[in-house]
Amino acid sequence: MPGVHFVDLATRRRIESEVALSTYGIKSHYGELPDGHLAKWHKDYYRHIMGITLVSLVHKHDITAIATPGATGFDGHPDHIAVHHAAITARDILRSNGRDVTLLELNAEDAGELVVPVRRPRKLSALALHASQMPLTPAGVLDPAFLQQYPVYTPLLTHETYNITPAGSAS
Amino acid sequence: MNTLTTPFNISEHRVLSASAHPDDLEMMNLELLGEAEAAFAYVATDGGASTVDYARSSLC
Repeated sequence: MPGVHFVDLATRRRIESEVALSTYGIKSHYGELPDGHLAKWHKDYYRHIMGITLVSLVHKHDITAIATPGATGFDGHPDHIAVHHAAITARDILRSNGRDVTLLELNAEDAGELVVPVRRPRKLSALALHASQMPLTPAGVLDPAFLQQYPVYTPLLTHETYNITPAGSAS
Repeated sequence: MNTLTTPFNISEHRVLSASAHPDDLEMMNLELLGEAEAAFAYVATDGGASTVDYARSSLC
């Protein structure tokens, strides 16, 4: 079919992500580690790889806070939990070298210190840019049926809630 | 939960979102990053596993 190129899922998701993040003015870095494996056979290796990469990005962009999916990964996904632990590793490495960052851990229980209201149309539009993952309506926004299938995400369409561990505090 | 001794103002922070998959940031942190002084993303995986793959991996 002229003009149509089929790519693997990883490539498609990378392209979707780059488009979405650039749309919202967010500079991105991709680790390209194997999806679904961060908490498996080489989890200690992956944790350190991710942690060291985060440390590098903190220095490169003068980062003052790292947002994580939280200790439960918000939805329990093992990759999400692994990334949270990697952020803690990064924070500990930074501390041992005389620098600290605030950790913002997404809270699945609606009990965090920081509550950020969500502009629902904006978030739905952003999610719609991930067409390989999200069911869309004819209008091009996230299908509400998705939230019925995965109700754990419903609060994230109204607010994001975070636990805060300020820089310089005890863990 | 930590008790904050000073008010936390997200607009004063340069925030790095640490996420696992290409669409996680938009679902989890989009509004936080929108309020930050500057926003950056780290996406750990290649996003190559399908939903079916995830369902299988969760059973391992």
